[in-house]
Amino acid sequence: MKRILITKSFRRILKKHRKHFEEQDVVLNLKEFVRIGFRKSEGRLKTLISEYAAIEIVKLRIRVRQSAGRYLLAVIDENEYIPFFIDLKTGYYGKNLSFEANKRVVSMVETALENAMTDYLEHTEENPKAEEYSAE
Amino acid sequence: MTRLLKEAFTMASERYGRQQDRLAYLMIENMDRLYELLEEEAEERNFDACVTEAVSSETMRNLFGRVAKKYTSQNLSRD
Repeated sequence: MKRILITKSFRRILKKHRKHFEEQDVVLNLKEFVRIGFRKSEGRLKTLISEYAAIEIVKLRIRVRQSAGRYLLAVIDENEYIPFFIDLKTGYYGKNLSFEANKRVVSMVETALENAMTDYLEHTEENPKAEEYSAE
Repeated sequence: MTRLLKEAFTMASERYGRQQDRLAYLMIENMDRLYELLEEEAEERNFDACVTEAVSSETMRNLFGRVAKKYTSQNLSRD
């Protein structure tokens, strides 16, 4: 069964955007992605293949009422969907294209992904680090 | 004018045939919006490049290795 995992670390990021997006908005958007696939300006940014599984880093769009954003997720073997970063379309990362701003974006994405993947690794039934939803 | 831009104009003139003057007028009127589109597209490419860089480090590759291993082992135990 395909599933969506909302990690504790992603919840912390979502909390910063709570005026615009809620957890259920992301879950619904992901279910739609599983059903219909990529839409305009969305895509696969990187695929990593190991001996165990393929992990894809995907960028998706989200629009809720007046707010538009983009978010990143890791997709494991087209089976598990783990969002790890969300950004408003008009976010402060956007406008400044300087080298320093780029370094900051790289570091933010790196930290977000590392935290989400650590939650995934530590997640157990006894000590849950993520909320599980069916993606179908 | 670059070769690609010439091609774009040729395409537009072929597609819009008799409306070429209106098209040109719209482009002139909306130059600011065109510029905004250009900026937006550049920012998006820039963001994508940052993400690719962030997920390509050795540390990330090791982390993905561990994630893939856990995913496989939990799937095996479910079966």
